[in-house]
Amino acid sequence: MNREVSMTIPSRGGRAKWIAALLLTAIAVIIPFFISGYQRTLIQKFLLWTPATFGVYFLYRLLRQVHFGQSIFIGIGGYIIAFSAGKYAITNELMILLPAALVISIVVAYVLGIFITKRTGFYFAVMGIAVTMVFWSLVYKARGITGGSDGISHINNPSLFTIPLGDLALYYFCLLVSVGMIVVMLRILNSSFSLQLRAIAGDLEKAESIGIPVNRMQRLAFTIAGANAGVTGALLAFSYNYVSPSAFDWGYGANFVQSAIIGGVNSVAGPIVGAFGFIHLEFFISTWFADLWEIIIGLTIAIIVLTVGEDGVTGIVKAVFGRIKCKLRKQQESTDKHVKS
Amino acid sequence: MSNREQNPPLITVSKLRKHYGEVKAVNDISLEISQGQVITLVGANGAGKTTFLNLLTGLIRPDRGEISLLGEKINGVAADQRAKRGIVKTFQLEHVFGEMTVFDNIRTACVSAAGMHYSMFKDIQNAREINEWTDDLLKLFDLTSVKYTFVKNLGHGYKKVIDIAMCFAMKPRILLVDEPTSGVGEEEKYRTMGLLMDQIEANHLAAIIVEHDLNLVKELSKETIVMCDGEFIARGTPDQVFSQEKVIEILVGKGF
Amino acid sequence: MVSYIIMLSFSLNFILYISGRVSLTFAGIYLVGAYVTVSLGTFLLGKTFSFFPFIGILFFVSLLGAGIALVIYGAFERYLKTDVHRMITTSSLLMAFSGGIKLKWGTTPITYSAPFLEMGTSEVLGNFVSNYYFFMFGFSLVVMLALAFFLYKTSWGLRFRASSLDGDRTMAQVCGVNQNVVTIITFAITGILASLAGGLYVPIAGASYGIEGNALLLAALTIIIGGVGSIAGAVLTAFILGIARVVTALNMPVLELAIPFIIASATLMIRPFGLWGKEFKH
Repeated sequence: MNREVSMTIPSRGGRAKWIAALLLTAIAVIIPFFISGYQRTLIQKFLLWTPATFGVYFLYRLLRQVHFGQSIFIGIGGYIIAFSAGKYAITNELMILLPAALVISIVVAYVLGIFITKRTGFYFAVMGIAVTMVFWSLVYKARGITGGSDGISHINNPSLFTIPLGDLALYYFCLLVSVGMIVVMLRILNSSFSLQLRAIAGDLEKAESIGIPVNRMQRLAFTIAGANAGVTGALLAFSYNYVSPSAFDWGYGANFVQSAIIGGVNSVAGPIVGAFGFIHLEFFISTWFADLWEIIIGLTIAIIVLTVGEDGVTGIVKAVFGRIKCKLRKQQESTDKHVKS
Repeated sequence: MSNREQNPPLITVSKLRKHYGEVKAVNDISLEISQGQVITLVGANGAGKTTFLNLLTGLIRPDRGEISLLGEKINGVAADQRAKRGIVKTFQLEHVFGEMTVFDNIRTACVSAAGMHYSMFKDIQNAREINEWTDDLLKLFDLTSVKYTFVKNLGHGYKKVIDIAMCFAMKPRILLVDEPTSGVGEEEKYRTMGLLMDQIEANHLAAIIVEHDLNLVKELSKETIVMCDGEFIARGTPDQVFSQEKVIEILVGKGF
Repeated sequence: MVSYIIMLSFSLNFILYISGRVSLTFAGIYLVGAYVTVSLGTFLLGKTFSFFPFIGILFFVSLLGAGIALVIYGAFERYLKTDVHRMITTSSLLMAFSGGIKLKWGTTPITYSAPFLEMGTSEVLGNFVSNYYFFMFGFSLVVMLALAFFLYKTSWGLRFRASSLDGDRTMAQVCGVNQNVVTIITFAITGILASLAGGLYVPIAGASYGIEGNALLLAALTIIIGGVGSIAGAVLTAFILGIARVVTALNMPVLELAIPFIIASATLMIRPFGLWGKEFKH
């Protein structure tokens, strides 16, 4: 399917999208009072999962790169929290830890970005996977520091401006941070930065010849995605009170790609829908069919890509809406004709 | 000597060499180009013209030799930096951003020329200056009618003009044009070349234009250089150059 | 130790090179090869080892690998348009594959060590090393040489190279090289190499859930370092990695798993196309 993207032609239904967004946010605010604590944790995971998926979306939509490496930064964010609020009990303060996670993720992302973004396509994806495995092995082996395969549990509750946050309060904080990050990402998507990234993906040589600093911008895009995941990882650690090297498993990184694909990478709603779908799919299947998880998710993704390509669920929805609009328009035209005659 | 004082050399190439194994693509070439000087480069396929241009823009590194811009050596300067400093090249094969509209193609060049690489939080739809500048360029190159068409759906001739327009967005000092009329029909050829030459003159740019159509060269070129096997073998007005024995031999012998 | 890297990476190398397509299925076939070898080995031969039946098993396994590869080609490959689609689909299928294996055999490793134990040992540098290493190395070498011979010395090999990234696929087609046949055979060969790699390595390390991830990584890093399109390059890179692995295992064990990646990063900085790679647009 050819999805042509233009920033000049404003997407249709702009206002409808804003309403939908506000509605969703409102639902997210009210919903804790209607569902159980466990379900709320799931929603929380979804909220935190979305920005990381946005990172994958960002790199794919703009640069056509498949980013398997988000888990690196989730892991880094997570372990920062685990060390500070858990094992070494330095501080629980969110106002210190989140910026710390952000800064460290940015630095690591920038450094890693230097060689991961040197090649695109297949090589980029593989290097992403390779880096996650390297981190995994380092964390796994350094038992003394990181607790090895046991991970670190007993992470204290976070506190905001020294006020300890309970579960519910943490939920709202995550909601706030998530929505904030998504808004920022949406802003960036409409900027001249993004325009140039798409040019780089379109024709690298031409982009270079009109003065675009290709390497630096690719690195920056990578850093942005990583920063998202770093903050997310930190909050996830607080949400689950547990981190382990499995955060660096390449399958985990692949999960974000899968979320992005499920939602579709050609629509801004894609990462949100995809994250939602993925989290609930994962929960549902691991409860009833735990052993079949890999098979099901693997086949699902394969089928999705083979049928709707990269448009995912949002693509299907758009197609359906498109057909409905077409039919309505045709009806309108025929009634007009009737009226005229 | 007083000429030198009036027109300091914009680009100085000194003993530039690029060999690909046995093939001497560019063989110890030296050249000086001043502001406003327009040179047409002709030569058989494989003579090394595109390689020469690519060496100037930084797409390729030379084996030996120096390239200087306004007296400053730029051998180590990266391609995107050179574009910013004023050395801009069009492409012989299609190199445009097919998945974007014409408007966005030009706008990207404008954005880049304005140095807005890291501007992430301003909505580009509201960047009035950039959008106006883009509209101006579109008008200049007669592209307003296809403003919102996706470039991949346009014909070859259009793509060439878009390529040129993007280069002009960079406000170049010297424009390197690699076969602007290749693959373009007769009528369009004259229109495109006319547009190109007008703009070059209007902005007092220096230019090196690689061209295969000798009739076009005879008509429009003031200074022609013939390149063969990596070397400049003749230089002068088209009449002077095309009347030389060795040039005729090459033109007829190797065939265009 | 080194040879399975060779085989594996070559499998990937080959498919990339010849058909210009990225496919992660070889890792799945590796997995299958490993498990099948173990199953057949224990089923047919139990704890004993006899040379020719083992070769027979390997032979069967390679055919199986080819078969699977062809099935995948027939069923899916044609619908995948871009490299990215291919990557995502094949990695998902890989996941599904290994999930299926986990279902049947669980996460504990199964082994068939008879060849390893029964081949006897020789003394190398003061240590006793199983002869199986030599067998594996020799076997792989033979296969590689056969492949090299095919590619460089036969007319069919020429046709393959003409259709590869080195040459020009359209031109080759115009000259009468049937691209479908080339692609099919490429897939088959990939399957053979991958499952052989799995089968050969099994007597040393057994088959377990998750080995395909490692294998995938190793193969990919090998081609990042060594570049695509050169048999000699792949072999030499495998050697480099093997040696690096051993050296770090002895001196800095923490880095052992990280070392291929570190080398790969370094290579990317200085030679983005790999040490022996040919430049091409990806």
